[in-house]
Amino acid sequence: MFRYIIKRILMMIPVLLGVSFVVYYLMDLAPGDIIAQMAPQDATPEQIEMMREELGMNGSVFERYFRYLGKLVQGDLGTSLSQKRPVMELFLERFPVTVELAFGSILVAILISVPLGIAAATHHRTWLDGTSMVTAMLGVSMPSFWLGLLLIMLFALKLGWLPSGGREGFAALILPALTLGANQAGSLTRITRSSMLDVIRQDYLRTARAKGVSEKQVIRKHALKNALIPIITVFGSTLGGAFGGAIMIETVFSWPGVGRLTVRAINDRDMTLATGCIIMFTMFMTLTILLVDIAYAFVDPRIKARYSK
Amino acid sequence: MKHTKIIALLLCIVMAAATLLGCTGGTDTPVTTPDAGQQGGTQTNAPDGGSTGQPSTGDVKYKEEIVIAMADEFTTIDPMETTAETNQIVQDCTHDLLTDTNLTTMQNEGELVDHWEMLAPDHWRFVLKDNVTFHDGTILNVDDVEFTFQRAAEKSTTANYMAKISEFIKVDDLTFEVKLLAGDVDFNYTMAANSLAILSKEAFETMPEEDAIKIGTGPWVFEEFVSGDYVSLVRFEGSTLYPVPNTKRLVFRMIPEASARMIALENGEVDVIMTPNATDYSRLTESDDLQLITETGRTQNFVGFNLQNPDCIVTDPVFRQAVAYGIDKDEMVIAAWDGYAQVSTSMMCRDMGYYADIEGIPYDPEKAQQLFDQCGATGKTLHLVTSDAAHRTKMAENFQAQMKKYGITITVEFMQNSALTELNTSDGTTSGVELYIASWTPGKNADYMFRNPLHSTGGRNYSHLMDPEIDALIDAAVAETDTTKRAEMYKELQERITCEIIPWVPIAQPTLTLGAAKGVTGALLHPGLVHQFKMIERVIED
Amino acid sequence: MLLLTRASKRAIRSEVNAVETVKRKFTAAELQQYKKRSMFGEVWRNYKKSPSAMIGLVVLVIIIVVAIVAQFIYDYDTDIVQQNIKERFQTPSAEHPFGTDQYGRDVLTRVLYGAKYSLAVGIVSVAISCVLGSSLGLIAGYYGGFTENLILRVCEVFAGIPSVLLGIAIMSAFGQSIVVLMFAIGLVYVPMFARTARAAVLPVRDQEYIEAARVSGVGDLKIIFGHVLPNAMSPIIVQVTMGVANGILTASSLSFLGLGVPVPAPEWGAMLSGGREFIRDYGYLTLFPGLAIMITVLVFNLMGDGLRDALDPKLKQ
Repeated sequence: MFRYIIKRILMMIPVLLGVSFVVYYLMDLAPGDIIAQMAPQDATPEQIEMMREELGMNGSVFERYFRYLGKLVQGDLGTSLSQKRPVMELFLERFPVTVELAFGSILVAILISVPLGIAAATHHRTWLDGTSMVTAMLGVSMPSFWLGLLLIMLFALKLGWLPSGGREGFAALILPALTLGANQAGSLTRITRSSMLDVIRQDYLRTARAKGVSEKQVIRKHALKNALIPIITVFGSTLGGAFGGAIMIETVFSWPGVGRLTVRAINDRDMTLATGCIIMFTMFMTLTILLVDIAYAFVDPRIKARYSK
Repeated sequence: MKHTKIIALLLCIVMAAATLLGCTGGTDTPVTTPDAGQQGGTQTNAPDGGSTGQPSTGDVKYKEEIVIAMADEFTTIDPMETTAETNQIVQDCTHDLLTDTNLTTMQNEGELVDHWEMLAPDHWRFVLKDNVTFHDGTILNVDDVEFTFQRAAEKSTTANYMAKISEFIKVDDLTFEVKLLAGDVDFNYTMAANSLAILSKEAFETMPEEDAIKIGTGPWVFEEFVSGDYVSLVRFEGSTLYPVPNTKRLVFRMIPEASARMIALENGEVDVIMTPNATDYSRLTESDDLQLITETGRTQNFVGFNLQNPDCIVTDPVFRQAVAYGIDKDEMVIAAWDGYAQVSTSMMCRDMGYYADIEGIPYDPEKAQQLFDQCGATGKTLHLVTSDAAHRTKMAENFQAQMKKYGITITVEFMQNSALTELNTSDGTTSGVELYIASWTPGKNADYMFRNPLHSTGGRNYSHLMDPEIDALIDAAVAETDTTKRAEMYKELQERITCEIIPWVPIAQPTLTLGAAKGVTGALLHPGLVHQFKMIERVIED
Repeated sequence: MLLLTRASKRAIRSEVNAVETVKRKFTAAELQQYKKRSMFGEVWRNYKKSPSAMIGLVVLVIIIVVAIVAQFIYDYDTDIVQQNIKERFQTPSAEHPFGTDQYGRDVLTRVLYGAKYSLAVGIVSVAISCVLGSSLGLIAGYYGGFTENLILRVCEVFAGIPSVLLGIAIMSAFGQSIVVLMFAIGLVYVPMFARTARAAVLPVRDQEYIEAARVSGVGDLKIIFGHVLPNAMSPIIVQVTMGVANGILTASSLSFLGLGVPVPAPEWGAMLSGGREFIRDYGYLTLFPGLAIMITVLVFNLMGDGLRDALDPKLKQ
């Protein structure tokens, strides 16, 4: 088990290095030079060259990348070119804000999808099942930023109940979390429904029913707990999806998270900030998925046995 | 078994949450202010509902906290690390310059300097104002200026200003002289560069750099900065240079979406919003609680041609003339700025000294069509590049539609602004640029309007205009001491560039706007976009 | 249970067929032709059973017809490029059922004309990722060892970067055009196809009939495309349908961020982004293009669902 975890962590390293190179190289290919942009309008070429050296941006892309890599392997993500502050510091400042949104959205997704999925499964092949499935499908098919705009139109502009953006208090979290959650709820509903259907047909539930336990009791006491297990297994990928989706949502709702920071960094051609943020983002996503796997394996001997092999 | 699975669920949520949040360990706590002398801790933490008034002179009550919604992100308080207007707006509140533009008279005046004297074009004497206090309680003297200049010489943003200076001479505590490598009759303007805000030498000697940089002489003291969210300032009670502001706390909140800023203003969450949507202007002027503050901007927006492109019709003066006749500028102003811009007839900005109100080239579609046919442009496809800024994309889309009427197809390519700069400043014969849309905001004097974008040696000569006569005229005008003669020269330049050479077709100068709650005063719009909020206040009714 | 046996019987049958074909020295093309025909019939019979999947198919056909017809009834120069500032911001009416936009252009025209951009971007980008991704997946699965490891790691790199961010980075690097957009989205979804294809290959890689083909001197490429690929077809087809849906969504996200198809092309995401500024007074500017995106994506998702059930009856509940 321990060896398996070590192996998984070690396997992350080449991937992260690959990510760093791909992003750094793409950023270099992008036309536009942050140094020239930051220089005063009447800057001389010598002055621009001086800025380049000062920021470690002189030399070919490979020279620069390897210099960057040299620091990266020591855990130093460098300094943001546009903001002149350590990338790690900027990332960690903004990351909790994104985490807040991601967890908020997962909470929303679970609150929507579990009842919907159960209703669909227990009323299998009825109109309720059909409606639930179509709703779930709509959630996946809607562009999240559009749903966000619609919700802003309704709740912020027409009704004036909730703020349209920003991060002032709990109320500000509701719309972004709802928007992102609706997207996540789509796939979670389907998973809940199918695992519930699976469980309902299990022998022990048939036994329970035969013993005279009411259908409601069967669902609540026995089926529900087991049907929720698959949701745990997809927790990692759901969280990953929430982080990915947060990028658009943060733009729509002026949410000061790491997604907006990264989009801005790419637009500003701030390669250290963009590369650093994406590396950290990727690392957190991979680590979360790993943690979920470990946590799950830890208590389920069958999976543990599989990993030990 | 069932229980263990529930535990697994909890465990993995907790573990994931722990990794995600745990390692950030307190970094989300706001940056604390250094102990800045007389600035008390109670004041900074004092919760105020924003509506409780503070008794002041007479019966007038002022709102204690003013919140300004900005479109862009504030990133640093260090004046030497940035040229971004958003940062400079905040820095303008906390730090002062030796000289600055008076936004009411638009003249260059002393800010920290009491008076100055040009002993010779390459020898200047400045005398500082007496008894100016820094936020840390120390008094401004020449050593602080010298320290600031030394720091500036090492910073890339400011090094070119310092490169002009050959010698810095301290005469006494308040008087210093600078000798320049070459004569510069406008050296006082150099001292007005926002990056050259005067820093406290003592602060840098006693505090870590990140704290010392916050110490200035402005009427506002840096309080805290939450990245991507807000930056807050508190009033400087100990100022000897400024009256103590009636507002206690000033918060700059970052709200990138214009519609979100507007809603925040209407809901009373903020007091001032920068760059409201043009569609909200009527809402601002018609509301009883809100106001629209406007000022003519000094940004010339134009459609430009690359005069060095070897195989494109844009090098044909007839074609350029045709475009100039062919653009309905009024329509473009509606499309790009919803009508809130002043149509340009000259390439020069209207509110500058030496502006001559020339007639320029009027909109004449028949003439345009005839000229297009004459030079064989009809039916051709041309490529236009511009940046992804909202008004530029709208200008481009409208230009495309207008040219279609003459049978000319324009393909548009949007790029990030620095990419556009890079492309436009690279060699015109090989860059492949045909048409472009850009803008020019001349900072200070008339020379600046022409030299940088139109002189063959200019740093932003996007049109690659290489005209020895124009160069000579620009050079002669700046050296001319007789103002009448100088005015004639600038008029000739305007006419020749606008009507004959036509490296650009000037379109319009957009109106600068702020949205504010009623009762807000003291917000000054800066044509160069570094708006001033030093003395902002809001009177509230009982 | 019944379904299971049918499926496994079919699997056995196809294996037997495959081995026999090799013996008889049938060409790979002939074999594929035969399998396709029989498979197609059964899949179609299953697909027809799902009403939602059929609705999806019908609506898709309508959208495609609209996209094609719009190219003929509207003129790009006069209806799309030309502006009519005097008629800006007209709310929906009989003359302009979806209203007019900030430049006075008819929104209905733009939505209908714009169908081709979303469809083209969705379909071409998925074609790119399908061909590239499936080939990589097949190669990885078939050869195993170092090749497999390398391909998987490279895929992990691209899968690790959130798709919108990777899309933005690629669009920034190579400039804005519809072709770059297609490649950007294509690249984003390569890992997904690679993994699907590889997963489908793994169970057949060590099967005897593959071994037989190899021993009898059939080339690697022929084995991969003639014998291995057909086994991976079902999941790939489902992935393609779902992929088009995701591709359209990602494209509209990029357009919304201002990095999509250049103006004045009425790409739906770009229309949304343009109308966003006026959301307060003229909400219909964002409503209609958004609906168009949603319906198109929904259609592909419905079809993907139907196809999955039809191709793999085991999964159907």
